[in-house]
Amino acid sequence: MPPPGVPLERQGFLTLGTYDGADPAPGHEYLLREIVLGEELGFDSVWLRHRHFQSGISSPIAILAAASQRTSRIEFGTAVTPLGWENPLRYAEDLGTVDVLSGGRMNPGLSVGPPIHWDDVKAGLYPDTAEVEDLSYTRVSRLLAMLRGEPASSFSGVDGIESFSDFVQPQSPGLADRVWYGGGSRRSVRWAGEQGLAMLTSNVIQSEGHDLGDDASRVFADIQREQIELFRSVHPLGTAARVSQGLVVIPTDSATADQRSRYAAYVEHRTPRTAVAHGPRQMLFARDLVGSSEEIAEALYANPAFREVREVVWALPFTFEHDDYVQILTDMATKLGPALGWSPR
Amino acid sequence: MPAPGVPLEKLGFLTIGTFDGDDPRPGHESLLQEIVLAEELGFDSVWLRHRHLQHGVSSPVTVLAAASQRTSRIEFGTAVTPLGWENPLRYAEDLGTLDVLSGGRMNPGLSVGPPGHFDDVKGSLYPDTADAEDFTYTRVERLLHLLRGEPASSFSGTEGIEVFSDHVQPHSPGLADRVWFGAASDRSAIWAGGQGLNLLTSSVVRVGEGEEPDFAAIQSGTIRTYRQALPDGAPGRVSQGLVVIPTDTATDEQRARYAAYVEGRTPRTSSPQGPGRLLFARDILGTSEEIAEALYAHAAFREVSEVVFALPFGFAHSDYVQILTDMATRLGPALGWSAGA
Repeated sequence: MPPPGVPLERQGFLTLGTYDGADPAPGHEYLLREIVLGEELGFDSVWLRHRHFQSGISSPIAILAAASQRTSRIEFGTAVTPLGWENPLRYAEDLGTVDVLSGGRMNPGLSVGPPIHWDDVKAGLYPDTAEVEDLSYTRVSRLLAMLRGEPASSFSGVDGIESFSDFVQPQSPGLADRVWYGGGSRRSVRWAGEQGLAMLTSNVIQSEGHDLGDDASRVFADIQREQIELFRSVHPLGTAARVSQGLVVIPTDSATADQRSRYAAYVEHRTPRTAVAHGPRQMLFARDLVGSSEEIAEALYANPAFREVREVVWALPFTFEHDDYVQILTDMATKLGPALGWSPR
Repeated sequence: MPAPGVPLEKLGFLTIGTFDGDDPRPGHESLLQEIVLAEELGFDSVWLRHRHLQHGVSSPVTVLAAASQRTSRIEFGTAVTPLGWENPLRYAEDLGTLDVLSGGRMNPGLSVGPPGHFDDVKGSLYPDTADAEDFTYTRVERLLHLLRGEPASSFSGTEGIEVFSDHVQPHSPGLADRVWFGAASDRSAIWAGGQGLNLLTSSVVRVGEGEEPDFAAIQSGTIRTYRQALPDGAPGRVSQGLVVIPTDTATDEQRARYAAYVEGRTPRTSSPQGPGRLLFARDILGTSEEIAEALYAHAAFREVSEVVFALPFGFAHSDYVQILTDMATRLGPALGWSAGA
């Protein structure tokens, strides 16, 4: 589901928001224009990656607050915010405010664990507290409690001329039910399912001992399908639990010859890493799908994990130009989506 | 400066952005409309208070990011963000992004010290780290270091398909020079001056033991102390943030409500309050002519060339429209100020 004939219900896109570190304004402006274009094309949602110390978006809440003023319908998300960098109480205030500003369009996507390059960044990030920060799932539970308006203070009432609440302000109804977790292992998807969160599954997954054989792409898809099934088997909503798949997909229907060759070179460069598991956690990468929308749709219908989901968040490839993203987004919404039975909003 | 005849250079306003906890959207929308109105009226800047667990803006970064898309000229600030609630590295990312989105219009205003009601909130804010958090001036120095783009990671370079910098991204040049510090005592004013920060003075000062509780004298003394501590070449901007309510175009009903508000707050202005010995300035209510006269007689006002008038709390959007309009069209001109284009 969806096999051919069952319409894809939701189509979103995910982007890094690349910019020039020496002149960051143009990249930020292009990103906002891509979000506006996404709305005009009928996309259901736009999701931002959340990076630190990189020339990609480090403050999705600020970008999405700005985007809330240029759009009126498209939903927002992060995929994903590594919560190890955030204080859950403060982040709940930011998320609540973005949700209020956007009229309830925010979908926080989260992950946990120590920040990447932890030994390199911990002195800058947590100079006094690195050794005692709790970077486990507890950090998500803290955020969920704050988003649900559970008590955050033992004081409420009037102090002088000021009134205090005992829970985070502003509260945005429904926001706590729109929290997603980026799971890539059996343990994490089981935890997310048990918590009743929605699930983001991406183009990176832990192989957890699976034999890759000579068709790593097929093994990736099988593992992803198993994780989706596990998530739903423990989720209170069962098969109705929301899962979104985020593969890198590059439709070329209206691309120029130059664009096609650049996209092909990009995919070719990234393909070798998809054949083997990487690092101590045996990370597997999915192949980027490049081709006509018809070819991509055929590949997706042959993908057992895709057939488990009703919504997708296509990941844009990194490091291309604004004009390239305009072409890719336009083809996704006008060619690929319809080939999957999706209708623009 | 400014004495009568010396034009006031900058006119801004400060607001808390009140909202209804059960329906927060209208309050946020009114706030954005007030910011747009202020730009149209020619105000130089809008500043947000930064509150937590209250029905006031808790995320100025996102509200101002939204405002950046409805305005093109008016400057933004916070007055003040209590930095004890922020992680300086993450906050530097938020501020840098906001400054990029707004075309370099952000002015972060800061204070330090443990968060208010710390014993009540520390279990939620810092459940594992409350006892190890550093709430001193060091927290501001961390933020300044990061805003200046100084190294904050021991790794930079390419890893796989990802490129890493060793300093906070995005870096917005000039932002670090637009940091303000909210100082209410000579000690903090000396520190802020020594750091080359700009100075926000508000409607609250700290009265020293045995010191005469004369608000204007204490505040003007703090400003002079700050200026003496400034290093050569620092911009050393100082703004004053009194609560000021011009009534020129107010209805009788508005005047009566404003008068009741000021009357309710006046008793606390006569003597230092609480163990911190905080002294509050009187709210200044009246026609723009009356307010201008009171300001020219105020020793601290005569020390500054820019003001950020604080809006009173708890009034309706239509009241703020009247107050902002009178500030820009009557009070400002009475102080020699000219609206920005």
